[in-house]
Amino acid sequence: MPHAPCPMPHAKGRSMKFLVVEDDEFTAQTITSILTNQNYVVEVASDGESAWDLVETFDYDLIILDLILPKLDGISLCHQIRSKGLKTPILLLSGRDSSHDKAIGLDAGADDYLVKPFDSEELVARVRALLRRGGLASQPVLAWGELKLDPSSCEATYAQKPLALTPKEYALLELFLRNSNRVFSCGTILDHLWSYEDTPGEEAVRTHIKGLRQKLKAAGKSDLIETVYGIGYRLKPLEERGRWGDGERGRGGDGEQGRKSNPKSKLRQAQLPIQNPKSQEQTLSAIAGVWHKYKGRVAEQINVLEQASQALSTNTLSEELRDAARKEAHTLAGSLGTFGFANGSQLAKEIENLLKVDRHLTPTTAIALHDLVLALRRETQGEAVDRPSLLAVDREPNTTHTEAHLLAVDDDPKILAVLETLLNPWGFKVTTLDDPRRFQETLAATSPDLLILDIEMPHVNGIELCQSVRNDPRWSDLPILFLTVHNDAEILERVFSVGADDFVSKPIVGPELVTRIINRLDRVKLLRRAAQRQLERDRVSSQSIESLRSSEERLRWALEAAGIGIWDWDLATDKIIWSEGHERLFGLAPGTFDGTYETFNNCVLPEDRAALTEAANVARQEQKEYCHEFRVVWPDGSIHWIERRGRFFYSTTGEPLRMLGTVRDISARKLAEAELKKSKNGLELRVAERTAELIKVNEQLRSELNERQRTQEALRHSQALFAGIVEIAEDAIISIDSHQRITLFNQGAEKIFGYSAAEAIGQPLDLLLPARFSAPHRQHVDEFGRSPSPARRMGERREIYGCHQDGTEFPAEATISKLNLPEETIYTVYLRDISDRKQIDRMKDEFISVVSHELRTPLTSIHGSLGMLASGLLPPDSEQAKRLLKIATDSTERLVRLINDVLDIERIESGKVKMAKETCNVASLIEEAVNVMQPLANKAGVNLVVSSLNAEIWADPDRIVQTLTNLLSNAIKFSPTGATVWLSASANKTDSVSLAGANRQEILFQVRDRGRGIPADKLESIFERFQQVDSSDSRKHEGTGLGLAICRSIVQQHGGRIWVESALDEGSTFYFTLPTVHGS
Amino acid sequence: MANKKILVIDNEEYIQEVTKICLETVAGWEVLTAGSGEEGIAKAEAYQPDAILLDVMMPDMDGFATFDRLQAHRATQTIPVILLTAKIQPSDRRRYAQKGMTAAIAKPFEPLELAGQIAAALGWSLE
Repeated sequence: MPHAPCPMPHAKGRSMKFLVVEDDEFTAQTITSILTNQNYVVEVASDGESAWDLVETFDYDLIILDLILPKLDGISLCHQIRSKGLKTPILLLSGRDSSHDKAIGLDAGADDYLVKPFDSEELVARVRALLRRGGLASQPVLAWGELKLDPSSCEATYAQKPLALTPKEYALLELFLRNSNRVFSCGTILDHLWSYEDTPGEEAVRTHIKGLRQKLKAAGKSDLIETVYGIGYRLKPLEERGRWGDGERGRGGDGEQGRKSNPKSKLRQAQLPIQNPKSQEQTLSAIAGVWHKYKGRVAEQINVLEQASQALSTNTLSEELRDAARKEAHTLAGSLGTFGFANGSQLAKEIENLLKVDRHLTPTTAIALHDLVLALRRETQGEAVDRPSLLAVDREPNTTHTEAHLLAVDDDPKILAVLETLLNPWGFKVTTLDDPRRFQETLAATSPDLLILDIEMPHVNGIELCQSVRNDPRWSDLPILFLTVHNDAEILERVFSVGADDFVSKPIVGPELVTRIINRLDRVKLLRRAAQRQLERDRVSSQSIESLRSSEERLRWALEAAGIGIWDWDLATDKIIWSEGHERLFGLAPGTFDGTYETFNNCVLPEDRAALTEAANVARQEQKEYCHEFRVVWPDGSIHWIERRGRFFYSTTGEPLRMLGTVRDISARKLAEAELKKSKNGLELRVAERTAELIKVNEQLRSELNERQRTQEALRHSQALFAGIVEIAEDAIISIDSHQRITLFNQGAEKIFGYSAAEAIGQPLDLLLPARFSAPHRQHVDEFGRSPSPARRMGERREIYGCHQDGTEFPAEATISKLNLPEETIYTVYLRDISDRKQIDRMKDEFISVVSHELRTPLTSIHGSLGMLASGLLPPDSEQAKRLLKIATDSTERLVRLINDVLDIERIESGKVKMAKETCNVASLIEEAVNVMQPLANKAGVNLVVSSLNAEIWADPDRIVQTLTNLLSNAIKFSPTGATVWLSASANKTDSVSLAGANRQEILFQVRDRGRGIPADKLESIFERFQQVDSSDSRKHEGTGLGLAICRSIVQQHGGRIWVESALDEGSTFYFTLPTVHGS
Repeated sequence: MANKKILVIDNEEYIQEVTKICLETVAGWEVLTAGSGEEGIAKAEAYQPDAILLDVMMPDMDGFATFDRLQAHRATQTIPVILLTAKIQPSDRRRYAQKGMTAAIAKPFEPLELAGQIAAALGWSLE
């Protein structure tokens, strides 16, 4: 199929169709997506040969060609395209950036060269550049009246109002605007706007046209796109729309020709960018040339008509002359209009009518004929009234290569000359034939793409030629276009009934003819495409038939192999045919079955015969498939089970005609069934046993399952327990990951550090350490982490310092362990706040230090005194010696008291001394204490005033007396001479409730003095050990500093309380309580 | 050596007395006594003793605080101070030396050797 020149100006983006020839799928896809993105339509061929097929079949605006391709390489394909005269721009692609390759490619006819890998931007730019070369230098705005389309912005407007078009509607509109005079068939539109792969049906085109029309209508233009019936669509010519503007009408005022050829109209030029008025003029003058050439021949034809007219008027018209005249009239009717003599054509047609064979010729006819011939003569002697309308189709006349090859057969050389003149500029190579008898050889020699036939021709008419063409399978697809003067229904019916594709009425109207030819050729393209698809389908289908045939044979063989016999019983003739397999199954030698029902019946075991017949009858009556099992007796007497299947075939009246079916030996199955039946009972027993076994196993499984559930439950419980223990542990339990980030932070940790778990988790361990310990600790953990042991304690407890949330530090004891898991190493720190213990330790140290000091003090005096006395340096009677002796004695006593008190308090507080409690009378205890202390009071000149109470208490009497004497002793010692010390006891109700429900009773003891008093800050601490108000008291007042501490221990051991109230220089009152017997 | 004047600061009266008798009897030094740091500082300033025997464990103002006060006072800062204390570890001696104390003597002391220890520490000689 010759290539049609690109019908559209090269413009940016819209409606352009490219062929990408690339064997690398990825590159092809990349290019396709880049170009599709730019709104180009892209088809891909993966080798040179299929690319060539596509190039030959379709019009492309650009070919992108890989250099190295299978089957046909890029350079060769390029050569081939150019040698066919195709001008489609070619962009060569190659992975080799070699100047030599580029030169070869460009010399082969490529227009540009791009090296892979390429940049998408460069590809698109080069494509645009190539498209510009073939088209206009700049992109004009396309306009059609008030309709404007700007390809650079892809916007369409009507009367300056934007049109909201879909991409396909836009493309359609652009196609029409760029080819404003062309009629597009649905097939052509499909070719232009869709890729081969995507091509939908023509219905799609109609739908888009409809959509476009609706949108134009909404914008105010209802009939912009015109339907050309039987052909397609085009823009409706502007001149028919006077309201489109005066200027427009003014320029287009001379009708079709003026509209198409006025070179002065700039607007026109924009709309019809490839309009070539020059070539039109050339065509017109060529037509004029033909007219002049054949003018003489026309005159001769009219002469024949005049002869006939004269003969008729003299009643001497022979049949020959009549026939010759009629033929001439016919020819003239067809040709004159073509040269611009429309009226002449009409006259010739009327003459032809008068001379028709079946018409009775009268004198009136003679007159009419005479007038008509006269008018015709006049008509043809003048100048052509109408110029032939030629250029309705907006294709650039192309003389460089052939669009299609046409064969025109007409006995009128004028018509042939006109056809040639008309069609050559459009790239159609026209072979003309005026003698239909040479049709076959010419057809074979020219192999045209389209055939143009005249209907009425001498010797062989067009109808017959058409029939012969259609009867030849080689030409069955050849489009045939009839040229006819008569377009009455009968003629048209005949034309189409013999296989014509279309017709054009004479006189030939150029636009119509060219459009119809192009339309027809477009259809052929579509048909070929469809045929190719069909061919593909047929190929598949013939393969199917072949495989069906072989599978039938296989089936037959398989049936035989499977031991299945086939039988076919013709009920009309009562003849039965058996396959060899069937005979074997009945114990007969191949070919020995005589085809009778009787023989068959005799083979059947007598007792099975009735049932067999019955089964067949039932199947026939109920028109069902038939299946029956019976036994046959072989000639050797052995019995075999047979399964017979079959079905009836009925006539249209419901009579059974035939029965067809299969037989197979089921003896083995029957035997097995019997065996099965026999073993059924045994089986049932086994099943029962097995079921019991299964039940047992099931129970075992259930028990195991329960056990597992219990284990899981126990595990869950244990996990919960563990988690609970971790959570509630007093100690901090903190886990860290290998990056020393906290992953576990229990309640103990929250309490100790002051952070919530949520705050701590995810933070580095440093959060919990004073800054100065962070680095050493981190190093410590790292070193521990590197130790080979997978899981071990880091070692002994270490004392470290922790850091509370408020920033204060505290001493802590910590151990760390690590657990090497497959995925990670987890460290767990167990930490205990040892602030309290440290405090106790400090107190203990302090106590020891104090005791040590308290012991050394009297010892120093004793040692010094005795040392000096023993040295003999001092005379024994000297004052100094006496003094030293006194010091040594006093100090020794003090030392003894001290040691007693220390031991006493230690034993009471450690619980080593039990309070020997008994019922004591408060009055008795007071009396005893006073008796002990009275001498001291007397010595100090202090009055003792006692207010006793007769009440029972549950106490260790010695200890209570010790407490009272301690307090009295202090009171006396710190009272000035002449002062009074009061001792009293009173019953006191407490707020607490006894077990019996009554308020507890207690005895309140008071010892009051008028001494110097105790500072407020020492009211609590004086009950601590060695916490005298003044340390010299122990020397001055013979105290040890432990008396009040001992009192407190005794009272507390009795469940009582002790405290002091005091005012400096006014005196102090010591209180303590003891529960009553009743109360305790 | 009879011209040496020693100030004994100790809250224990008996210890003041025993120390005084010891030093007077053995070395023939003049011995002043004070029962507290406060009293000791006043007496040191007033009497400018040749050395001070200072007890550590005293209520209100202990021996170290007293020493600091003596050091801070121009009139008393040059007077050598010898501690009399129950606790003497090697580390304690270093600490006392660093503070500027001349020596430390443990309690209970040997009454006949006390004067010799003091003299040795101060570089005095006993006849």
